[in-house]
Amino acid sequence: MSKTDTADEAGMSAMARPKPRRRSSRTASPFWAALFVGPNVILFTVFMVIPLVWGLALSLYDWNLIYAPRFVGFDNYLALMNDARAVNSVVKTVYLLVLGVVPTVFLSFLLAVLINTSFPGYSVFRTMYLLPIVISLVASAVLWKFMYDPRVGPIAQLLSFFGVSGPNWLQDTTWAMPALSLVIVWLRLPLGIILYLAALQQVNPQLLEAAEIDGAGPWAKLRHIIWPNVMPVTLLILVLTLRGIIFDSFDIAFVMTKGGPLNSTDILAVYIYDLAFAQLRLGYASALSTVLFVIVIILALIFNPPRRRPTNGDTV
Amino acid sequence: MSAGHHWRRRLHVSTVIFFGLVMAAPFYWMIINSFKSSREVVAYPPTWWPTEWHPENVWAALAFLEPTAIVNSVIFTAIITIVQLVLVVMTGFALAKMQFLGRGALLGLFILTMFVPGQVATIPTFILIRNLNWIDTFMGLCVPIIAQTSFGVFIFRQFYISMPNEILDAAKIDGANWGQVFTKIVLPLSGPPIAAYVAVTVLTAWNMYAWPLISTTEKEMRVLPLALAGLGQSYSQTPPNIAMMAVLLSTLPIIIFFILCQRYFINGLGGSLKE
Repeated sequence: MSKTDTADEAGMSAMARPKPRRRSSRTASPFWAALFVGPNVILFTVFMVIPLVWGLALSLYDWNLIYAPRFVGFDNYLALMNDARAVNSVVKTVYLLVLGVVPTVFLSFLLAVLINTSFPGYSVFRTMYLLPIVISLVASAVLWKFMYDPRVGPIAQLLSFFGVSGPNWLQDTTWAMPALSLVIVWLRLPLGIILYLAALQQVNPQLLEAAEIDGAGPWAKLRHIIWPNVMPVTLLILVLTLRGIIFDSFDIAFVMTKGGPLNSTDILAVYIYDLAFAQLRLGYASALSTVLFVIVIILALIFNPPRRRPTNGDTV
Repeated sequence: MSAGHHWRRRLHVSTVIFFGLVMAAPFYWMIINSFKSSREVVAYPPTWWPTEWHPENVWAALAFLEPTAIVNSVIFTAIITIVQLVLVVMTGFALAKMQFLGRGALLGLFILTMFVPGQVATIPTFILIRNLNWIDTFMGLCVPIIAQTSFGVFIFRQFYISMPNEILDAAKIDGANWGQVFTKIVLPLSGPPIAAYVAVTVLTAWNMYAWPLISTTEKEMRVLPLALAGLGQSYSQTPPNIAMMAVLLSTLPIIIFFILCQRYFINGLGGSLKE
């Protein structure tokens, strides 16, 4: 191991560059480098990188696990455009994202501002806000199915108390998707609240005092001081929620509605599962997965364009 | 003035309590219904407090969940957490502090794949597992999940990048090799991020559904979420009180774990702020 000064962090300029610090040599021999990263790199390549590339390739084939794969070029993608269920599933996925992301971001912001306080017994109530983080998607799907029960469920009961006769939530083509998104929002609020609480600690109290002296009311402070100051976290929560909903919606939709009624909750993940593992149309399902992949990339670019982040390495 | 202030403070506290109760209401509903009798749980109108308590529902729910599903879930969660932790700590450290050929490219690869939805790789991974004859084995169940290391690698790299180089250099000058530096100096300083990472990984693995659904077919290999999912189906013959008790029992270990380690959860999740 040489002791000469090397260009420390040379390859890292695009990534984090924390405080300037004295440069020193930490050149590793191939043996130690391989020992530290080798096992992970092998596993990651075999079970992550290769499947990702393979998935793209598979979308150009027709294969059902029984006969030999047959190369069909872009036929799968052309077929997707004429597949009403595929088009519907893309629309439903986007619809669920909107119904899930927007309330998650705003409610977690408002709730974080609300509970950014302290009083005797406060920690008990804070735990209540964070509790949904522990329950699994499947367990909450089973639980909420019971909550939505049109006869003995508490939601129907509360509504009838106010003289409203609610729909049969999960069996109604209009209400099934909002009902699913409510479960998802409930599950994802704690993460947003935790991140916003951390961000609120960073808002300069002098700014708030100055605003107060200038006669700003609570709403003005919220709108013009706090909200702009936590913007980086809002973007982060937006991206994490989008990612989370795309990753997790399968469990909720598959257990609660199986894509029904009448395909009204038939999101991409459910249709892909059906194609790949029920109908065994692996090439076609891979093509649809690729569509999902492209949607994720587009969303990632919209909300998180590649850029240098001055705050990198520090808590925002 | 003071009276107005008091009044506003009280309103604020009441609002905090009210919405806290709303967020926790589904848990309340789960708990009270899991102790009702089979008759009361489907009675109209529903009761908001059980008229009589039936703790024996626990046995019915446990019989439904099956000991094998519980044991499988514990094994699945333990293997994934331990193996993945070892991999991401070492890789994260190497990417932050070691200099070797291809480091930048490797880091780029992990970051790029961080936002790729697992579903894109699920179908080829399934074919791979099938060709390896790993369907219905713990290898097939765990290895592809362990391999999803990008997020952990990133978190630990971010942690180690802020660790002062001087500590490492001093040890290196004294003749310690990387293995000694890592076990004697780095690991003892890594307690908080390791605790946070373990907390989040245990939670994720315990609750995982889609991959076990795809990679196992036999009942003996089922994990808890698979057993639970059956309760959500419309053909389920299990009465709702037993279903609620099963949900409660499967969630209880994690609820206790969460309340005990709340600090680590919050640090771990707040840690994604360091992105």
